[in-house]
Amino acid sequence: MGLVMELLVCGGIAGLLVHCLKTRGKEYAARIFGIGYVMGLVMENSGVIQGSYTEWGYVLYFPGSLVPVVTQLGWILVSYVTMSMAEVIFKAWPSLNKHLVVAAIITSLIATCWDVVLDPFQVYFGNWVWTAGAWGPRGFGWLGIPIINWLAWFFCIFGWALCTYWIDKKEAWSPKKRVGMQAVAVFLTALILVAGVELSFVVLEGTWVPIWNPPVIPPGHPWYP
Amino acid sequence: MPFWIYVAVTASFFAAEVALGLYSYLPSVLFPLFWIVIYVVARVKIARKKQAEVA
Repeated sequence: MGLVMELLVCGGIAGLLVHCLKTRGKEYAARIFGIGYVMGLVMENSGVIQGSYTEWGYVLYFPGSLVPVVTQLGWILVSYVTMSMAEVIFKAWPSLNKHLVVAAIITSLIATCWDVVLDPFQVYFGNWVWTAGAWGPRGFGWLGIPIINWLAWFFCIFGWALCTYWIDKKEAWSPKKRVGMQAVAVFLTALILVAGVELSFVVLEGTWVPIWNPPVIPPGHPWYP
Repeated sequence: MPFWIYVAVTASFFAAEVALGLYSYLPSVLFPLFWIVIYVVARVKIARKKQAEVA
């Protein structure tokens, strides 16, 4: 991805931040954009540390980070856009929003379906490279993307949306408590993500699950022994 | 605005796939398109409900 494209994405996120501040206020912006960035940082870096993929085809990186600025910020964009869309859908069909789990599933499906377009293209251009460790023995995947990617997207946004919607309903809480609980949601999301992906692999691949397999660090990676 | 970002990103990736001749990638656009249609239907339903309330 070129510098221009990366700056365009950053500009889009800045526009969304202004939109969020105007329509929902500072507290929600702090939760989705501030804590959301931490969520993106944890999720993106953990995939590289685990050895599933590398993201070297970018220009802007924070020092010490294994993933570019734009993919960490991308999680803010994805979560804010999909939760906003889901809200409109829930307004039209309020029964979908009765149960938090159903609401979170719909939100994560909107996000995962979006990624079906985004991911293959990034892989085609070599921005994201899936390593051998990301593919199970049966090689489930589509358009050059291993199934772990779709599962991770689904469970990550599912966990994040579930926690966010739950905090949204706690109207008696102070703004500080809601922001603090959103920070806790990062760890809950990580737990849901790991549990969901690993259990899915047990169903798909039997005894082979990514967490039991050592990371495959490719030559040229900063951590290559 | 969030919805239009969803549409714009999907449309630009679709256009790029066509331009580059990546025809095997084209069916992938059906996934976000499904949610775009659902969203538009939801908007129409909300607008009709508001109109009915005013009337």
